[in-house]
Amino acid sequence: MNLLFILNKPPYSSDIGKESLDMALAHATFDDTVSLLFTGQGVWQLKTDQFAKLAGLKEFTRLYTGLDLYDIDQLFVSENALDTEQLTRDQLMVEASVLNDEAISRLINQQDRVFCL
Amino acid sequence: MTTRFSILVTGSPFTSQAHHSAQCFVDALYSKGHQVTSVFLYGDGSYVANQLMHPANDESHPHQHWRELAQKHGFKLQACVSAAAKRGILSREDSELSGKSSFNVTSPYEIAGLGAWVEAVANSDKSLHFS
Repeated sequence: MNLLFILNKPPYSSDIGKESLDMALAHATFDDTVSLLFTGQGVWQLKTDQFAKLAGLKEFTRLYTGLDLYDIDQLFVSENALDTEQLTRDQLMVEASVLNDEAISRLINQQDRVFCL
Repeated sequence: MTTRFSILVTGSPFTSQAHHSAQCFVDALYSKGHQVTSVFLYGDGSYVANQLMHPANDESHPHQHWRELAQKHGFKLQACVSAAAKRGILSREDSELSGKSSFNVTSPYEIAGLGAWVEAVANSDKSLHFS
């Protein structure tokens, strides 16, 4: 089954980012084909140089650099979101395909299920 | 034709409409002959599994309503173990394992791993998320 997780929330303002990732990893472990799309403030989850510890939080986003262990290699980032948040591709901790809105629409249409927690 | 649904609920019981909407939806599904592979409670949605929830008589009681729907229709009513545990929602077994003095999850509510959700999705035709 092809699943897309849309991550649109910043990493540390709630547990939703962590809980979305946990769910995506569970699906990948059971042989679903999982893609991740970072959009809106969700692009901050991929920002390099996070120091979550300073805020007393666990830096769960480190897991994004080890997703190949779970056979998740489809990472996508919204071009629009990068512009809005004034981030560039080289500020992201992983290689991700940058998609415009039209390409995002095509990506969503290719899925069996789409989740945005 | 029967359609099988997996239902994900992540909204908090009293600061979102998630549970009320999901309950109306699930009841309507069964009235039209469809089925539910699981109602999976995740994130703040898992708070609803707390059997000590005790609202005033004239207020809505999402915990009790899920309980009645699950008993009426026979679907699985599962709360994610990690989401639930960190929010203090514990089955008898999990409570004993973690050395706590009490528990607050009883049947038909079950505590389950994320694998149960993956299975529920795999065995369903459609998934719906209420947040």
